[in-house]
Amino acid sequence: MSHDRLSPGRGERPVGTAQPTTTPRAERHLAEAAPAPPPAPPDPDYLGDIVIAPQVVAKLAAQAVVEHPRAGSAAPRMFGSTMPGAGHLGIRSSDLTARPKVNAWIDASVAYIDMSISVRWAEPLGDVTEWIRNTVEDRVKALTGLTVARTRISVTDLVADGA
Amino acid sequence: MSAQPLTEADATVDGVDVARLAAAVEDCPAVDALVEGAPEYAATYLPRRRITGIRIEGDAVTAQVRLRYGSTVGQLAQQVRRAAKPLAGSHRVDIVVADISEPHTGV
Repeated sequence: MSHDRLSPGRGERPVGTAQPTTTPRAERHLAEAAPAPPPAPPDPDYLGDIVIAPQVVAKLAAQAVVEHPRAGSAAPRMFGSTMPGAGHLGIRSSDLTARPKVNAWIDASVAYIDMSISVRWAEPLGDVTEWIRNTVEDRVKALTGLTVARTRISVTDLVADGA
Repeated sequence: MSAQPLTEADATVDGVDVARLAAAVEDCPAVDALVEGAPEYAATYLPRRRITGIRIEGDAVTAQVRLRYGSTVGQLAQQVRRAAKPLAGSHRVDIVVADISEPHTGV
């Protein structure tokens, strides 16, 4: 019996008959190294992007707070307590007629809001914060279309007699 | 030596008349103003002037605006697209709501 083709011997590979040896991992690397396909042509029906800055949501939320007659801005806290007379130093003081400090974040179509407010002394905090939370969520939804997933309200000061 | 007068071509970027586009967007009732700065820093530099709030890049025209308080973003988008589309040519119109105006207190 004769063999008319080269057979491998002692580690030699037959010339011209080598098959590419690829592992799944190598194939994945090859696929990653392959040139990217050309970008798809723009969709003629696509109107464009709408981007809403977090500042817009924060302003809407702050405005909702100041519309409540018994809630407003809170003085910043230092070492866990408010700073009496902060307004004289040019620092924001607790004021039921001023907007509070509000931070907002937007992730896709969902907004997250954190705020620090003051409330008039002896008002039920639960009622005030519930009103603010509902108003903020409704207003942000109505005006921007964003869903408010979280409204974190910190009542950091109580104001007596509209001080 | 006097500067050359501006021509219509001086205000055109990629086939879009930026000055007319900016005026059309600012005329929308839901738009308080075109604004620069964060988040998109939209502005177009033309010979001897700068158009705030409009940027043309690739296949998109970006309008960065301050929303008039009381208007919805949906109304804004509808008005801006209606105003900008005839001037934007084949570009898509991206809208950035960077700020919102102060509410009218009725005082």
